[in-house]
Amino acid sequence: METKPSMAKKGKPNRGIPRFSEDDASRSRARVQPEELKHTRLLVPQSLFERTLRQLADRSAGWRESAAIWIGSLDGDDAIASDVLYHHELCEDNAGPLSLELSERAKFELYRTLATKGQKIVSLIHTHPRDWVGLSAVDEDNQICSRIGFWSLVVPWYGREPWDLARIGIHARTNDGWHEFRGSEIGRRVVLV
Amino acid sequence: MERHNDRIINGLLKADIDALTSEELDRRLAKDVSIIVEPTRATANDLWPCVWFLASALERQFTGRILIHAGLDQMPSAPVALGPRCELRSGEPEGGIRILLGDIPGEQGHGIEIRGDARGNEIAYGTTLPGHNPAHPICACAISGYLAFSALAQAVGIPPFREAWVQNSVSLPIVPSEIVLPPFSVLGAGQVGQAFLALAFFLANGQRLRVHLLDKDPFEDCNQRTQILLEEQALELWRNKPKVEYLAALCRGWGWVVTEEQREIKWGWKCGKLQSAFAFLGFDNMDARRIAVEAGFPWLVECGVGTNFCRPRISWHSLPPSREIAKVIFTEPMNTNTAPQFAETLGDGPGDCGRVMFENIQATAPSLGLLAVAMTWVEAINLCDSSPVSGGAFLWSPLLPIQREILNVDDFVAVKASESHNDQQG
Repeated sequence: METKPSMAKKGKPNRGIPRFSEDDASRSRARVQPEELKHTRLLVPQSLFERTLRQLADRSAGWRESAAIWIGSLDGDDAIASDVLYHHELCEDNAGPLSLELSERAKFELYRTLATKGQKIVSLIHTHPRDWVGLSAVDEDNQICSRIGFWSLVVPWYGREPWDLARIGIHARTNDGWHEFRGSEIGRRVVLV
Repeated sequence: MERHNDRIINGLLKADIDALTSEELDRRLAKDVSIIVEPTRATANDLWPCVWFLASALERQFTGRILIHAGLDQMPSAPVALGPRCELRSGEPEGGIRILLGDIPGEQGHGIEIRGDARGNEIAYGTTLPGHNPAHPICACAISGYLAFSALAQAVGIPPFREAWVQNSVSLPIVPSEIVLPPFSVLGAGQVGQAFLALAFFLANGQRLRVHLLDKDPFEDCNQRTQILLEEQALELWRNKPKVEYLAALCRGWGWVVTEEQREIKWGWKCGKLQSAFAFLGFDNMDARRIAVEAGFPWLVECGVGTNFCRPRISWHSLPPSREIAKVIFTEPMNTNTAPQFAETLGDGPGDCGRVMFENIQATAPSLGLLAVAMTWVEAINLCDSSPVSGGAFLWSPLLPIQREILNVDDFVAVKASESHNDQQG
């Protein structure tokens, strides 16, 4: 999911909207942890974490991006993952070395299924080709959930082991975009149970 | 139109409100909405612009009827006709959502009842404003954005946001008097570009404006849901047509002198001999905004809208043609990473790898664009101040304080000097 928009194929209609500059928001959020994320945590069963990463690494096969969605429930500031859905099982993900896709149609089916079951989308998790685990402009734009506190994890080296939380990009949705947790904060925010 | 292409449904589902399905959203948005206006104020120089903007947004956000109770037997002059679901009514307002404009008695226990007002340069939510000043068209447009979003939010259950900061009324920094509008350019003629032109229609009040329009795209059917100059009943007039061609013809119909240009601006593009006092930028990307800043316009104003319906934020800027300011303000959220270099190695080989266009429907609602262009027009008519401005506002929960900051040009020069120093050090 790292393709620069400028690299995109031409021919599809332009469906952009006049988004605003992220500058105003990012100037403040770069320095201060957003208040709305003060106590936010992501709780993931260890077995689910390992199963997800193993499957993503297999799907990536060292050459293409892969992604999955953790679903579960919300309890106050805690987002609790209980199951996983893979992009390539939800739709044709057109995965390549720097990108993959979850179609809007698949997203809508997912929302319908989850609403019926009373479940929530808890986090997106996807692989990047190298050690950079930030969210690209496309990652930021191509959202599946705009809820404040929604998580997005980025796993380096196409999900190859070792799976160390400290090397994984840990991002959470704020009022003004995305905040990346770093250093010792990561262990307090993403808890493997 | 496929359901996922609907930017409003799309945005509401992604906002994750109470596990709503698209079917449930459809049901909640199928309500009738009544706009009930103080009859003596439903005139072109008072609240009619508000009624028109409000109805234009509501007919796109709701699938029920928009019933206008204003003591009118025909629609006053407007940029385009309202759609077939908008009806002038007399008699008692019916059920559904009620929006009261001006001094209209409310009805206890009615359900969703929203009140708003505008007088002079002041707007109010939940109350009426004292005095006899008519609403300035900019204020009429601004309050219509707040009211239309409020109707959407209450219909679908978007939770309140920062309620402790809510105010009853807000004054906009304009002198509410008639003005002579200079020639201007509109670059990017989508959601906000069209709202900007529509508000210019009311501000012009019959003046023969000179406008230049630039956009690269043709219209698609789904544009009608968010772009307020596209008439639902006149699809054949705009479907698949270049945006500038259709809009230029429309503006000429208002008596304006219009030139148009269908093109994508690239680095090096210049405005040439255009006699524009300023350019409005309605682009969907930061690159185009930076290019326009260097195109030779004397001044620029722009705005943008957010995609999170639970935190519906807009922002705007007014700036001189300064590369230093544009570089800081119009930054793409592109991070330093290895991916672009990695992408370079992929080349243009067979399989076209790494070049997939994401299907990405960005959420938006027309109400956001209305407030955004109202605030941008505030800056456009304040250009004589010659100070760059940065502003931001949330449409929900109304009315949160509007942030407006006069920018210090020296700060941007300092940033440039610091970057230059760091480059040398690096």
